[in-house]
Amino acid sequence: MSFRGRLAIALVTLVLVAQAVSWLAVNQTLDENAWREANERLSAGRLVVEKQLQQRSQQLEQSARLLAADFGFRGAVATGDRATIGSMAVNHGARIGSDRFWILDLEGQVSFSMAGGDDELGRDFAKLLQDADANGATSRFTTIDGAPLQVVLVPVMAPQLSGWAVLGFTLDEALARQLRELTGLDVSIVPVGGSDVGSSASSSLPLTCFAALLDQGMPDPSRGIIRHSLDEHQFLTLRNDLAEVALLLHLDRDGVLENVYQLRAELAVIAALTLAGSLFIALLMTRTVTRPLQQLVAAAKRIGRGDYSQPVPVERDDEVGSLALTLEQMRSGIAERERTIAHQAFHDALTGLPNRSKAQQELRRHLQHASEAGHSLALLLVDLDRFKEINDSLGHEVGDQVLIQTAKRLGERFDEENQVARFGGDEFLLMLPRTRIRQAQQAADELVSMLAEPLAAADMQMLLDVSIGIAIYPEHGKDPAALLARADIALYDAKSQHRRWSCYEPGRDAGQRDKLTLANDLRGALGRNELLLHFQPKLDLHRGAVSHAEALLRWEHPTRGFISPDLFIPLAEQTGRIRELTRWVLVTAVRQIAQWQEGGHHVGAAVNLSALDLMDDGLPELVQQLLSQHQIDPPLLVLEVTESAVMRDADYGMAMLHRLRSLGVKLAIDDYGTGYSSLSYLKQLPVHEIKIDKSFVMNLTSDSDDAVIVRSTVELGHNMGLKVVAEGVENDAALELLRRFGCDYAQGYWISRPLPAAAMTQWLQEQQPKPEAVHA
Amino acid sequence: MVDGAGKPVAEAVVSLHPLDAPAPDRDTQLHNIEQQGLRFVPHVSVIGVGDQVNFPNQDPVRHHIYSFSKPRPLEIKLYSGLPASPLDFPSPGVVVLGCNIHDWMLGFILVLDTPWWSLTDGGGIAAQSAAPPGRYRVQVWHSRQPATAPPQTREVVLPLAADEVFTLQLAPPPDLDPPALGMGG
Repeated sequence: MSFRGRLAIALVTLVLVAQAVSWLAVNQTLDENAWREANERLSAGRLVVEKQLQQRSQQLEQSARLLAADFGFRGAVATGDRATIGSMAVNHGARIGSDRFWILDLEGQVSFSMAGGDDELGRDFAKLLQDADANGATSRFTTIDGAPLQVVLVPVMAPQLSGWAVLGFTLDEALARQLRELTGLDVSIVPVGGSDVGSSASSSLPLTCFAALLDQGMPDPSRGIIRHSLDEHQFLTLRNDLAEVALLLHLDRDGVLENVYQLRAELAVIAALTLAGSLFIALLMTRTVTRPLQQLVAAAKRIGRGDYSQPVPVERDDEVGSLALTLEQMRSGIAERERTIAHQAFHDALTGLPNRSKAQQELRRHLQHASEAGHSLALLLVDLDRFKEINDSLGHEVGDQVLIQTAKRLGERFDEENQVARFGGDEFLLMLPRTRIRQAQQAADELVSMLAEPLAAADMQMLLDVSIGIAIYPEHGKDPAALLARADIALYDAKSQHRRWSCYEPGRDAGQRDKLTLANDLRGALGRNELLLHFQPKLDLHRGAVSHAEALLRWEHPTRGFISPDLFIPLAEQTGRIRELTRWVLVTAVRQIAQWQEGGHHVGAAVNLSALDLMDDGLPELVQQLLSQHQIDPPLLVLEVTESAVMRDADYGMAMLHRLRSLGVKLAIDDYGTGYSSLSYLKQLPVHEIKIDKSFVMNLTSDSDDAVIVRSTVELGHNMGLKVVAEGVENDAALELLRRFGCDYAQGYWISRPLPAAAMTQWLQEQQPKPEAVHA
Repeated sequence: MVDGAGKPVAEAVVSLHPLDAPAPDRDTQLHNIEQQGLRFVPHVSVIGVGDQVNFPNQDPVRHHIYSFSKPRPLEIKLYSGLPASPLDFPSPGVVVLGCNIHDWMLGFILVLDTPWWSLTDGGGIAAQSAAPPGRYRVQVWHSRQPATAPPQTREVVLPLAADEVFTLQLAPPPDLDPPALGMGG
């Protein structure tokens, strides 16, 4: 049961008990009063009746005396004149209302009876005569022939006692009624001990009641007042015996109790009103007590459901109020924590931007919105180039700073409608509603230039490059997964094509699948001898002779033919097969050096190491082993690494370079000029050469800027004690310029395109007799 | 003469009635029974058969004297002073007198057919010397003896050899005093 219900029941029970007690008390008092009143009335009634009958006796006696004193009567009695006596009895009896009349002689024998008959003469009034007082008179209640009778005996003096006159007065209903008039009580007069009581008794009661009384029989006089029911009426009856006549006084109980009933009815009404009132008050009270509790329960349930928005009402300063306050504090606490948790769940802790999961939600929401409104939506997937290198070389704190500041910039520019999210480690996703391809490209340009602003992290000014993949709803896809995949592809394209941004081109998905097939095929390519090395000679401009040849990995796919290294080398890097490939290249290249030596060509080989190779702890041993196995002069082997490869894990990469350098092999920085290394950093690298990226060299003759770059790079390298190699030499003019700039080595199609090993060997032989032929 | 308790009884009338010879004739006499102070005075009168009685009313109120006694029923209706004529009493017996106006008034006239009678004195003794010797019936009567009881009689021979003793059952003396009326004189 509810607290309210229990409270209400307790209150109502309390009221009920109180009312019951007072009801019982009042009722008892009422009963006692009624009983006492009945007692008093009956007792008083008895006194009145007794007094009345006594008076009646006296009156009757007086009347009888007057009769007896009548001269004629006396004469008649004295002379025994029966005829006269008879006539006088009728006359005088009627005068005083007597019903029976006897004359007794001096012996007490009946000498005359009004009723006549011989048996009357034998009637015995001895008892009555005994009671006669000094004046010779007496009165008595008796029964004669079963009928209740009041008899009066008076002497007849003529002038001496000459006999007695006995007068009988019937105790009839008229008397009963008369007594009732006086007392207000019903009166029944019943002979005692008679056999046929019914015929001679009389009463003021209604006939039916009287009949019931006679049926029940006479109450025991010793019991005092009794209660009994007569014909469905309740009576209180007091029996009072007068000699041989029983006088019953009846009090109509309903009459007595009428007031009690009325009072009781009024009490009942009052009780009912009180009960109703107290019920109302109890309900009101429980409502007052429990309503705030119910409110609190409702509030607690809301909180339970996870709805923390509505404050808990605190309207009171009692216990309930303090409970409400506590609940409210709890609610706000939980709400706060939940906000935090929800934020943490959907936001990146570092940047505060929505995280990937939130971004996907947002993307769905944007798409829904765009689909409903018929708008377009542009997805820009922004990737920080070489972020891992920053992280590895400069530490995570710097990396974090970079991310935070990038996020901040992005957030400042695109902060509406959760447009910016951190999508991955160094990937950010921008969702630009109502943006078509052109606008997206403009936005990408804007982003690039915005993020290209130097960035201050850990006391360093840093330049950041980003790659951006763009996919547009609805042109490039309808669902989030497709759009994200295509933005990813576009990003990949941008990176692989060294462009700042790239838009998804329809059909690129196929290329992507292609890559996966290739990656699969690449796994077995070594075993199937599908891989081979081509060599591109590196001309020593000072000596005019080929000093090394760069070993370039080629893949002859059985069905697809020649696969570009630009395609499968990244695949190998991504799938982790690059170390295997590099080792194979090293083995093959060193063996080739040995073969060339056997053929009389003192030509070394250059092998490219990827970032992952620098992590290969066993690499120096392999190199050492290969060199000693083939008895190769270590400087004949050149290992080329890009700056970014070293920067991937600067400490480790540096250590690895030192270890390799200690083997005596030569080290070169490949693609120099495309990275962002500071010169001071470059200085620390234990390398022997730098290879200027071919993008500078290819336009060397047409682009004066590039020429400046190349020349200063050559000078710079020399100043730092490094040899400088130029790649991508495609014409004589370029070669001549490089020669003029003092560049140490040149490599390119002008000298020779990459050739298979056998063709290279042959090319070396052709070159040997007339080394100057390079100029031809 | 003694009562039931053996005490002497005064004013009992003892009369001698000769059995062997008739009682001697005698002259009729006139008696007076006055009503005085609402009483009969005397209370008891003894007269001979044939005597006459006057009932002079000495009271300022009227009387209505009567008797229902068989020897001489009488009624003198409301009168004052002396009634017109005296009444004669030709038969022996007890005549009880009453007044219909004053119920308490009670008087007795004993009518005897003999000249020899006497009243007992305070010692309850009655003596008779005038009667000649012979057989007599002695009759004793007292006003207070019960109405139902006839006078006692006994045969004696004169002169008496010894005293005769009679025992009488008597009622209490009647209250002959008038109620306290405002009676002047």
